[in-house]
Amino acid sequence: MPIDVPVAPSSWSLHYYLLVFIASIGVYQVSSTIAGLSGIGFVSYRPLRLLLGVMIIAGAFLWFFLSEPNRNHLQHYVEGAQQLGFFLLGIVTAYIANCVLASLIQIGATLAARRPRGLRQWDQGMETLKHTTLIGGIIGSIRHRREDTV
Amino acid sequence: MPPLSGWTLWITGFVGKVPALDNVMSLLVSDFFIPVAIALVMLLLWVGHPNPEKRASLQKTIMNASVAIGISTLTVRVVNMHDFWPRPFLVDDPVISAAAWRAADIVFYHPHDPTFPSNGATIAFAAATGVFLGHRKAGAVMYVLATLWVFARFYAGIHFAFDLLGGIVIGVATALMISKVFMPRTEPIPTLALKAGRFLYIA
Repeated sequence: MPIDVPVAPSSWSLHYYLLVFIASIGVYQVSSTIAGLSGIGFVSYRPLRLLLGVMIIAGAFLWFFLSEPNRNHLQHYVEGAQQLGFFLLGIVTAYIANCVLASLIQIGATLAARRPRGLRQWDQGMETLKHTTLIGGIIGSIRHRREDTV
Repeated sequence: MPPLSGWTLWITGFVGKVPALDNVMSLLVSDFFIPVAIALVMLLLWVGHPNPEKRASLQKTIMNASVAIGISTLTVRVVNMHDFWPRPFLVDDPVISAAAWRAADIVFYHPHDPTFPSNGATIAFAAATGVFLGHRKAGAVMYVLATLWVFARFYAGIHFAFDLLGGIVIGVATALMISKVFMPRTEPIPTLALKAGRFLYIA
C-alpha cells in the first residue's frame, strides 16, 4: 500500500492562519465581555458584543470546514511546529488588529486616554483596557511619563 | 503487534456503515478542529476573567499547560527516536491492516509518522490536565474535547488503543509534574514573564 508524501501548500497554511486569526478576534470579543475589558470591544452593549464574538468564532469554523470538503487529506497536512507557529502568529496579529480596530471605533475613549494614576503599566497590564483602549492606554502611559518627569 | 490491537479491528468495523457518523468523526479527527478549539479555550482563559488577581493566576495556569504541551511533545519525539511503531494500516497482520487502511481512507488520511505514543492524545491531555489544575470547569470541557479527539483517532484506524493510552499517560503525567513540581520551582521567572506581558498589554 503506497504512502503519500506530505505536502503543505501555502494556501492551506494561509487558510489555517486565517481560521486562527478570525476565531481569535471572536474570542477577544467574548472575553472582553466576560472580563469587562470594554477597551477591546467593538460594541459597547455587552450582550451584543458577546453574540458578535460567538458569531465570529462560529463563522470562522464554518468557513474553514465548509470551504474545503476534503479537509482530511495528507495534502492539507500542516506539521506540528508549523501549526504552533501559525497559531501564535494568528493570535498575536489578531490581538493587534482587534485592539487597533477597537481604538478607532472608540476614538473618544482613545483620545481621553484615561489611566488610574499611581500605577505603572507593568502593574496594570490588561486591566487598563477596562478604562480605555489599547492606543489610549499607550498615549496615557506617555502622558503620565511626561508629567512624572516634568 | 501491540496489546489491545484486536480492538482496532472491532472499531474500524463500524466505519462506512453510517455515513453521518463518519462525517462527524471526520470533523472530530481533523488536525485542526479540536486542537484549535482547545487552544482557543486556553486563549479565552488568558484574557477572560474580570478579577485581575484571578486572571494572573489563570495566566500562570495557561503557562504551565503550555510548558506541559512542549515537554510532552519532546517526550514523544524521544520515544519515536528509539523505535518506529507502524500505524495499524501498516502492520503485518493483513486483516487488521486492511480494516484500518479502509477506515483511514474514509474518515481521515494515512499518516506516515510512528503510531506510538499518540502525539494528539499526549498534547490534548497535557493541555486539559494543565488547565484542570487551575480551572476545573474549563479543564473538564477540555477533557471532553480531548476524549472526543482521541476516540475519533481510534475510530479512524490511525492508532491502536495502546498508542492512545500511552499518549494519555504521558500527557497527564507531564502536566502534573510541570504544574506541581517544576513550574513552582522556577519562580520568579513566570511572575516576571507576566510583568513583561502586562507592560505589552498582553497579560
